[in-house]
Amino acid sequence: MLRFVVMRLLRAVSVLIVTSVVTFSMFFALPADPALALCGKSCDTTKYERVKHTLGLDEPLVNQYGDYMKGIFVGRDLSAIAGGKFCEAPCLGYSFEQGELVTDALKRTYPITLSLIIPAFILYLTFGIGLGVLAALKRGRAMDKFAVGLSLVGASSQIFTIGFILVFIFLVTLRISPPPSYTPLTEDPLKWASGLWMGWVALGFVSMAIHTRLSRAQMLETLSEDFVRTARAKGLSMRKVYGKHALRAALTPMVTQGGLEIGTLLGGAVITETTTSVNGVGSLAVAAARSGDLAVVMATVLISAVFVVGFVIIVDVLYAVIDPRVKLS
Amino acid sequence: MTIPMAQELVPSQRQGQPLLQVRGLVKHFPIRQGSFGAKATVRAVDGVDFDVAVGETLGLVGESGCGKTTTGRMLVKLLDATAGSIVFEGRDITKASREEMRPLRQDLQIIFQDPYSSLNPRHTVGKIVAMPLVVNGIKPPGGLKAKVQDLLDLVGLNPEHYNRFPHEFSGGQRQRIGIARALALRPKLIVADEPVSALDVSIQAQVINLLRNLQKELDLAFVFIAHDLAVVRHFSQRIAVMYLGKIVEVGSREEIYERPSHPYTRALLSAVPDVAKLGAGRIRLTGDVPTPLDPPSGCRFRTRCWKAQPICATEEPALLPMAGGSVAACHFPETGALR
Amino acid sequence: MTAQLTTTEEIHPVEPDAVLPRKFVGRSPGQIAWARLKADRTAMVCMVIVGATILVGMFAPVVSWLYGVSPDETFTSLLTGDAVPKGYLGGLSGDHWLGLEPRLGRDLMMQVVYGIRTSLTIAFLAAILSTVLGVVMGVVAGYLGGWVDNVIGWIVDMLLALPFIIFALAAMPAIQAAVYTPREAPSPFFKMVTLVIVFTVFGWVGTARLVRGQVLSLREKEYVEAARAAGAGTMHILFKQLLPNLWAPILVTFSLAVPGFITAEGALGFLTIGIVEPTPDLGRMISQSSNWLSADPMYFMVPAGTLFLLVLTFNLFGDAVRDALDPKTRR
Repeated sequence: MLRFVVMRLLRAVSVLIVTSVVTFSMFFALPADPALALCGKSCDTTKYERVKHTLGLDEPLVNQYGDYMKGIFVGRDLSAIAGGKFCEAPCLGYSFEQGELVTDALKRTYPITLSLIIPAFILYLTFGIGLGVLAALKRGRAMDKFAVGLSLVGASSQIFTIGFILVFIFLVTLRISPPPSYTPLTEDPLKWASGLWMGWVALGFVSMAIHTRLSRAQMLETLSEDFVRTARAKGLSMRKVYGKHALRAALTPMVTQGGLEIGTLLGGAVITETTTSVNGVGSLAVAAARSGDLAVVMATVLISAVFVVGFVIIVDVLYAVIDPRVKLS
Repeated sequence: MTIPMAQELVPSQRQGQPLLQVRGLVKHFPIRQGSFGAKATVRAVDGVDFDVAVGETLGLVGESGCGKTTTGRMLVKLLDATAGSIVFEGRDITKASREEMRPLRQDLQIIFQDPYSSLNPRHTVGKIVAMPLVVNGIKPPGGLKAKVQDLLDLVGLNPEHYNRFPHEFSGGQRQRIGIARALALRPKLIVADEPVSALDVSIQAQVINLLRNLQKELDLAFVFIAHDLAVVRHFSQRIAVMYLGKIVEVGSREEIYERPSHPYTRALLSAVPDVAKLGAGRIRLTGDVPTPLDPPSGCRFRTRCWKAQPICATEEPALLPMAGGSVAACHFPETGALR
Repeated sequence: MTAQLTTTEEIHPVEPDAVLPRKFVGRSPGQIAWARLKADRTAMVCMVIVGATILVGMFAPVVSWLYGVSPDETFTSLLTGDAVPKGYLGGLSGDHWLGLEPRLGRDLMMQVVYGIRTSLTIAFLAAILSTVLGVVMGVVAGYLGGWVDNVIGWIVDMLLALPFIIFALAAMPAIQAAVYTPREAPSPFFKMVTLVIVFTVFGWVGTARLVRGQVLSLREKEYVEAARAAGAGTMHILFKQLLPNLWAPILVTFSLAVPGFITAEGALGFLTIGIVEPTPDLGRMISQSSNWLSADPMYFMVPAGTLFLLVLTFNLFGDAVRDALDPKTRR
């Protein structure tokens, strides 16, 4: 087990390093000049050179990359550009577009995106799996057809289409919903929910489809397995058989699938945020990618890569623990 | 159809050297055991010797996991031996490369156990049977199609079924297709890896009879792998019994069936259902086959043998001629005829 | 038990296909799948719609000629002072079947027809290229195994770790900057090629994993061993023995990859990092329609409905193909 985990970790670290190198080097093909943008209106050659030097832009690429990575672990002196602030240990650089440290920008925007993603995630996982299981139990009947149809519609919809339809119905026509906005949960839970619900539904409905399909198929497969039939034959009640035996066996792969969706969710968040004009990390990343704000893009790419890679490892290890047949190689 | 008799072409071989000579054949599979990654080896085949003469059938019998299939695969070079030698017609083929094997491939063919997975579902029967010819660039005189139809006819299938797909045939018919494919290159030796164990009992007899007729007609030698002694009985001149990667007893059919010397052979024989001997003298083996990862010291059968003594754990018995006429590896061989 | 009964019932219709025809001509598994597909009414309807949509996309200029309006033509005289189309339902009329675009006054029907053309071109190219790449990678990884498998697995890990949309956002301008100077406007063709490249780079992973798994199980089949025992080389085994058995999963992933790429292209268009004006694009149209949601909802509904139906029919058709090729995973 130990060896397996170590191997996986090494592989994950190498993936992360290459991801960062690729993202970093990609930006040097871009025409954007961060130094010029930072230098501002009163720019002269000396100031320009100083800014460039502080950003390390006059150094070779390898050194720049090295400085950036070093900053993540030990911090970095960016006082000349970041308004006299020393960039503390997980230093992800300075965003010239936002005019603040990347860590500050992320601190500001991550709660927004998480407020969007987490409820949507819970929503679609419960509804998706619930609907799929229900469909499997009522196979061939109206409920099943409804679930299959709904998941097909969901799989064929786009987040922005659903989002706009919601806006059109509830905001423009019926006027019963406030416009999408973000209020911190701690400030006013009701306002928080009413401002974000359209985003949850749009993101959740589209992401739900795959879970309905998956859980339905998984459940059908489990229901036809010998141990379920044996349990039925033993005279256990329907409820016990489905609730205890079948569902538990079917649940594991479903939940792991959900866990692997972090990366996709961030992509979904980008579109959801744009659709509902709620500005979280997604919007931040989009704006940064457009203007060539390397530090922000690096940070968002790396953070989501860390999440995905980490989840893959956790899922792999859990799988190996749960199912001894899984070969650890 | 006329097929030249092999013994007419090479008459000396019948008396002289055997067609196939296997010495000290070993196959170890390295695996990573457990979660901590300790390396271990599965000793699938651990020093096996036997000969097969021209036109002869050697039955290779043992429980599943005893290494008989691995041995068969090594004979046709589907697996490379870890050690030991395989000599075919006087040539050592153990280390032969694919190119060096090319001419020999035609002499050494294999029939598989599972008639369902051994035929490519997307190929017509014609294509399947012609495959060995196509792969080796052989253009038969009368054309490929005629040759394939001859082969189908030979194994008792309708030659007109040339264009059909495997899924349109029954298990027995599929096995016949597999036999036709093995015969396409006109081999001298066929390794038959449990060719009938996946078939219904009624079909088994048909396929065995087909193999027997083919053997007479084409003077084929067989290594016939089976997991019980009943199937082999009517088909093999000589029988080798394997246990945990080693041969424990070799002998002629009479010797093995009537005067077996090794306790394991006796146990296997008593497992064959026989109305005449119902109930009486049935030997029940207790316990499981030990893992080939860590086989028992000394005699490998000792953990399940009712005659085991301390010496069995310390000293590995050699294959020696026994009173019954066979060659067996046992410190305390059984004597006398089987009841 | 019910699940059991329905399973046997569902398998039953396949039986008549297996009945041997009078003539000694076998039916290949492909022919059987085709017969099954033909018997599926939803599949046939979808196939007709999919076929018609492809034709519309291919022959968009012909459609434009027949319809009498080009996609660039502006009909500003038909707009009100607020730049909203006159009349009901977004300016629906006999001349403009789906109404007009607000502000510029272009014909929506033609915008949509050309939008489908854009969408399908990119989706099909991306699906073809990523499937080919995925199959090659999957076969190589599965058959050769060892360090090759490890390297490909590592690349797959990396691609899965990268957040596609953010990466695409960053990559699109980077690729453009590598080819054009900042002042040059990239040609629409170049934008399309870039999108296809980005989609292909990210899109092959799923196919590769699937094909690798298939190859891993197929290479253990005894017919592969039979070929090896007969002296067949790697090429024969890969192309003559394995590939014919991979067509089914390849076809299924391909047919489901097309709607996937249509959606992805729509998303990038929506984020306005995809195809640029004047090339019509459904995703971009939807993005622009957000400002007109209350004034002219038709401007949103037409491209959004088109995109939805496009993906829906392709999805339905893809499902039908899967059912026909693999009767075990029936709905």
